[in-house]
Amino acid sequence: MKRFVLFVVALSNAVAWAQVVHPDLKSGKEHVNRIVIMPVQAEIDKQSMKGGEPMTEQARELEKSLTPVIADVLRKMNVTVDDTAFASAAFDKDPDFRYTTDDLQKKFDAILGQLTRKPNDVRKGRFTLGDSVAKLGDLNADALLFVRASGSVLTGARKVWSFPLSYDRLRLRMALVDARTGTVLYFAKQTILKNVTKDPNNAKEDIQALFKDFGKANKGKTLIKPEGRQNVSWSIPIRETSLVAHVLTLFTSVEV
Amino acid sequence: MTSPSKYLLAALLVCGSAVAIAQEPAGCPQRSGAELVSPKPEVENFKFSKPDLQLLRQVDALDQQIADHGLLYVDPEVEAYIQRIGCSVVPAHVPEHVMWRFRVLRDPVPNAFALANGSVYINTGMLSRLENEAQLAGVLAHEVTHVVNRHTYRSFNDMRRKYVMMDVFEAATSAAPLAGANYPAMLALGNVVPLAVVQTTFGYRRELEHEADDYAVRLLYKAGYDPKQMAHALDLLRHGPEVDLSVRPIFWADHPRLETRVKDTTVLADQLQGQGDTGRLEDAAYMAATKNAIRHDANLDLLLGRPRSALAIAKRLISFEPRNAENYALLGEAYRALGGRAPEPSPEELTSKGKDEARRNLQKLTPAEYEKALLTRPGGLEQWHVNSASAERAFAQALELDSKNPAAHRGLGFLYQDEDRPADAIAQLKSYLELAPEARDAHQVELRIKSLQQNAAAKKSATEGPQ
Repeated sequence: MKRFVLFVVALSNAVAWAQVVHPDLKSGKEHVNRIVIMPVQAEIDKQSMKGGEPMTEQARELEKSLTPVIADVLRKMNVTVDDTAFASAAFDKDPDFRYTTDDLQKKFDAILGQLTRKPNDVRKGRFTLGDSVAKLGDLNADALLFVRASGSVLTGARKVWSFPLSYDRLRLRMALVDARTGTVLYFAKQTILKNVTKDPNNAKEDIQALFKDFGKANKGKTLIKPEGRQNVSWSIPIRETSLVAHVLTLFTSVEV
Repeated sequence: MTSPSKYLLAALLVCGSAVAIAQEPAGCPQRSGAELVSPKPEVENFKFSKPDLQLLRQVDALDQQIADHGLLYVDPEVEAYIQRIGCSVVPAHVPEHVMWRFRVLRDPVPNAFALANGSVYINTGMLSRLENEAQLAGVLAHEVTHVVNRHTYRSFNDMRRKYVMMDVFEAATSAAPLAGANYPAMLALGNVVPLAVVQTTFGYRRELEHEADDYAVRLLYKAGYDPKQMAHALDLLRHGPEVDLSVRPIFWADHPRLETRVKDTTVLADQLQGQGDTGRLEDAAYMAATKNAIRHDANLDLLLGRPRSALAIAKRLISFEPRNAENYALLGEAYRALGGRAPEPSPEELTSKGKDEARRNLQKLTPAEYEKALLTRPGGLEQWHVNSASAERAFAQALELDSKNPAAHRGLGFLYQDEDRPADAIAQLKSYLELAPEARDAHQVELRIKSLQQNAAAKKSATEGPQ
């Protein structure tokens, strides 16, 4: 019984994906030409038979390596992307710049809970960081992209022990925020059943899928052909395919 | 089985009350002479195992991550002061794999924490709550004890051992029904026992907290500070300007109750201190050294919807420096941010019902929606008028002290915008831009002026009607 409950909880979390577009972006009133990617924030832990252990080193690596992957995906959508603004010497030397960036990250975290629970409210224009986002006006962005990644890597023994929930996972949440008004223009979330800490390119197809609706909404500028969800979300090798994997694949092919 | 680990994980890297980063490692100057307090024998014989060294690497990475995320408060004067006080309470012998670094974290929560590698972080929220140097030394001594006595490694290893026990127990209870055991009973056991085991882990951590408090009081005494200030510092954490909406967890409390800690540290301080024997406090030196960090903390409070804390800090800074225009500008911002709140919590807000309602609203509403909801409560709008008037007076006072204070002009501009006085708002915001053209928020202010001008023009044409 307990395992069943855990199974259901994990399953519901795993399939908790969404892509929601603000009506102004959908209607073409807003158009995003230039995106600045805010510093990615990641948390990874290792789940072993002796409990959980933080993987801060790997999380730091992921923070650095995920940014260019996301930038690459967005560039293919005909959007200009600045993924180096926060890796510059100016960022290191100017405390005001760092404080402002951290303040905006804190503001984003303050709405992230509601954003995750009620993503559809993006359509009502409910979420905003306020006009303080304009403090990063010198970056000349149309939109700022906030990224949160959190995941677990299971050791071999833990995978056997946790069967059928024996998958590494990474939960991605991304929001595009209007760089003048602070309004959330686009929000997407998805849990990827892969270990992407070794090679974030493993998540590239999933990230492409996360921006599928954005690509469509942003005035049809998408150059890449949106790929089918069933091809991108769950990279479970055939030999490991289990009932869970089948169920998850079913869910992923359903559009919300 | 994954749920207990989730909670344990958060507590793992950090010992003490909270967390943080860094610029370049400073370390502490070599100190000679006798140790302030001797470490326990089991600590002196501590040997690093492979998991301990792995944990150390993760802890070093956390230091870097804190810096990467821009969470550090950077002010050479404050940093040097914190480092100096921290170094005054560390032992002469530097433990293996420890480099003493004391840093300030941009976080309004009153907290401090230590990492196993000797990085000690104190939040700006803690600095703004403390009253004197002795209390600061007490808090840092508490965190130093966590490092010296290897608390992170000890609780890490304790947790690992217990986690294996939980796994074994779960396997046994899962298999027992197959062998004919009562299924509901086994299910109940399978759920309760892991929680009980986790509880013992936190119980162990509570012991370590007591140990850190005990050492801190002794260190304060040996360093010539008033040892009672440790108890006072803990007592200051019990009551803040905001309504305390935290819910004390039943199972996951890894710190002893504050009341108990205050009592225990007071008793110990009394034992150490003879009658009429008083130690150093250094309250003026403390305020002089930390005032910028404290003012910075008030701005974080404003950012994160804690205007009552910001107000309390502004008043404290004014009493310390009554001729400083910045302090009055901060006071004005705090009153403006109060919105529909009273400066002090009302009796209703402090009831369980009031707290439940606030928790519900904070969970359901975005910060902007929450502020709006406060205005629609009975008396909310009236309170907003009162607060706005207080804010205007404070800004005016700031300008009286320094007519070229940019923050006061900006505050007035935003206040007048809230009060739907576009012409006054535009004038004040333009003054701000003239005085601080290079300010980071200059673009934000320009956009506000533009928006105010557009709204005013639209209003005018609507009033005049079609020609």
